[in-house]
Amino acid sequence: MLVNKHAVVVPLERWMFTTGLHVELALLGWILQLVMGTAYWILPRYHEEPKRGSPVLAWGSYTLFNGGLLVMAGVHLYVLPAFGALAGRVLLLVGVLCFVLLIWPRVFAFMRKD
Amino acid sequence: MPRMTRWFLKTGLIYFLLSALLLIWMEWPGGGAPPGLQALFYHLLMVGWVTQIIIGVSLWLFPRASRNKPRDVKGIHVAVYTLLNAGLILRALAEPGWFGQQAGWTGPVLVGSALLQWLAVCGYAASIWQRIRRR
Repeated sequence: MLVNKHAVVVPLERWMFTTGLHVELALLGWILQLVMGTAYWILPRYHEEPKRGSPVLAWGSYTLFNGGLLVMAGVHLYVLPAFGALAGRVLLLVGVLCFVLLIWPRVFAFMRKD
Repeated sequence: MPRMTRWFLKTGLIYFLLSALLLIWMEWPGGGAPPGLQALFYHLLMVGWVTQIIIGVSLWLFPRASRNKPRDVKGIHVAVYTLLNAGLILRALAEPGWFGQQAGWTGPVLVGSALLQWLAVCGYAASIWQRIRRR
């Protein structure tokens, strides 16, 4: 995008949409996904397998979240129609919901008795 | 805490302060802030502060590639630090001018800044990739 400020790589009429894609990839694809991955790795684990919670929820969260990001990228790049954005957002939301369900029981104090 | 982590964290804290100062300047009545500083504010915050914190902490806490490879300062980490910060500083210098005139020296400097930051991201990805694995 910075290169575009010197020489037009992306046509200006698409500029705002490309900015949206840049923000989605940087904030959701990089920072939020890194936070989710690190939380999954580092939060307290269970004593019994599966120690990090349901693998179905974990893979579901990963797949839905990244599926939503791909759909949003398709909308920003005009590969998918504009109403696809709603589907992309729903996928992202369900992915986040799976993550919350997965992580919620793992947020507890160490040394608890129960 | 490894030395490179301290560099990333302390530099990130400086960007955090700078971005807050920039925000005050932008909001100050009659402060005379040039247009286009909002994009610079977000990049100082998200690249200078958040990304730099993430890089520093991941170099410190992620599993080591092997027992034989301690978490010492490595050339590639110094290169990532230098490229990322040089790119950000160049952007901070050129961005206000670009919005003012959209020509002249600012365009090529912004291209250089983009390339430096992209190289930094490539270097970081290459150096951390093998450390994202099972313990």
